[in-house]
Amino acid sequence: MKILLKKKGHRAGLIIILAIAPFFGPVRGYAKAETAEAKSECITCHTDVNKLIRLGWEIEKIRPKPGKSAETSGEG
Amino acid sequence: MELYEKIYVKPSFLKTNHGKIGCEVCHNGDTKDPNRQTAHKGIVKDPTFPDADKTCGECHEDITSTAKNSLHYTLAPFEKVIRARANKKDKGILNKVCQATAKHCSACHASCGQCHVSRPDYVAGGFLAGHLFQEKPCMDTTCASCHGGRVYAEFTGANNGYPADIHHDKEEMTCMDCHTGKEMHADATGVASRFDLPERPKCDNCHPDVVSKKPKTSSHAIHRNKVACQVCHAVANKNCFNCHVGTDKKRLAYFKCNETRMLFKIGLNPNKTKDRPYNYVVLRHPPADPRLFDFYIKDGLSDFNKLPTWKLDTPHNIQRITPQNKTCNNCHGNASLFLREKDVTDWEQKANAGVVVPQAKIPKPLKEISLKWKL
Repeated sequence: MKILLKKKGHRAGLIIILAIAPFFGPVRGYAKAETAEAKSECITCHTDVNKLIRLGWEIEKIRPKPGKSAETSGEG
Repeated sequence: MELYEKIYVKPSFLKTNHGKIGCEVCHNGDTKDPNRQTAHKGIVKDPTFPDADKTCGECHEDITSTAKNSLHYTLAPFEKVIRARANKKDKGILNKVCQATAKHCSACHASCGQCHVSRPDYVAGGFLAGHLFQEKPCMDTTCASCHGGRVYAEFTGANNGYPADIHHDKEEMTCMDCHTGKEMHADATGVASRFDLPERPKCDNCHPDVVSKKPKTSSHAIHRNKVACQVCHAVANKNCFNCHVGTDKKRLAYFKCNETRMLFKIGLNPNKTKDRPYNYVVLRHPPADPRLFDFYIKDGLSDFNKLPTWKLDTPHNIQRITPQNKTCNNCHGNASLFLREKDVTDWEQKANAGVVVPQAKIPKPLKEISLKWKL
């Protein structure tokens, strides 16, 4: 009898879990979407000083600073 | 400024109202793409120019609706002056003048972003404070970026031997204390010059007694509405001559200004108005030259003499006591203070006929009365 009751309780628990599972599904999905939205590659990169310094060196190797024309003279 | 400093975004920016707006809303680009090059495809560096309505205007429509026609945003008087002097008979020549103007003159405009977020493009940009929006930008980095050559140097006393403006020196005032947001954002449609903008700063906003009918100082009563405030209270300022522009072998724009002189010249008021009824004003020679665009096109400014080359000016080096106001006769009878024919080069005579002071209009010397006893 004890074994039967244990089995019945287990089954009831399972039924409850299965019954409420669909309600958790979308919530969990939404939470995932929100995380993806908040994670911006722009922010990840532009708030990382070390990364920007290294990137700056790389860019300047390919494209040196334009600077000012050597022909400029006098006060502007 | 190093490249990383120019583009580093302070994490604190993300907590501000502007920081909560997604980057791509203003700048485009792909926020989810980790590849730098493809993520920046279609990126808009300054989303506030040429159409601030789509970005700032979404929330600040009251400001952008006028600011998009402001002097800083459009630089319209610049173009008007050059057009007035340009060769308008030949469309080919006029087009070349317009191209040169766009490359060398109009490029100095300031958008919303170039004052409130970054330094101006003219000095190669860079965030002012990690993309944090500055309601009142710092004059040393923002205003001085474009006005550093003359006005800022005058105001802060950077011209050797010439004192800083009393407003800066004693009161620690900055540009924005006089040039408020109301003026900066004012609609300048149809305005011929900055001096005609109704929102411009006026001395009597803070010194109402000076222009009142019964001022405390007798010299103010005597000269009221006859001379501009700067005639008595400004000192020598920077004048530029012979400016030429061009493009070098690396396609970089250059200018050559071969002559700069510190001068103080009083001239006749070229354009009397209700607000500016004075007979005498301070004049300055800007870097104007009929051969300015010769690199691009000869004879481009064939109507150069249509406007004076000695222009109305309001030097930003105001002093209570100046060399010319120490005594009456420091000015009266002192012909060297006034712009005379001999001060103007031959080719400029015609253009400046209306501002040159003839001998008869130089105030006669008075009995020596030292103003110091009157002050």
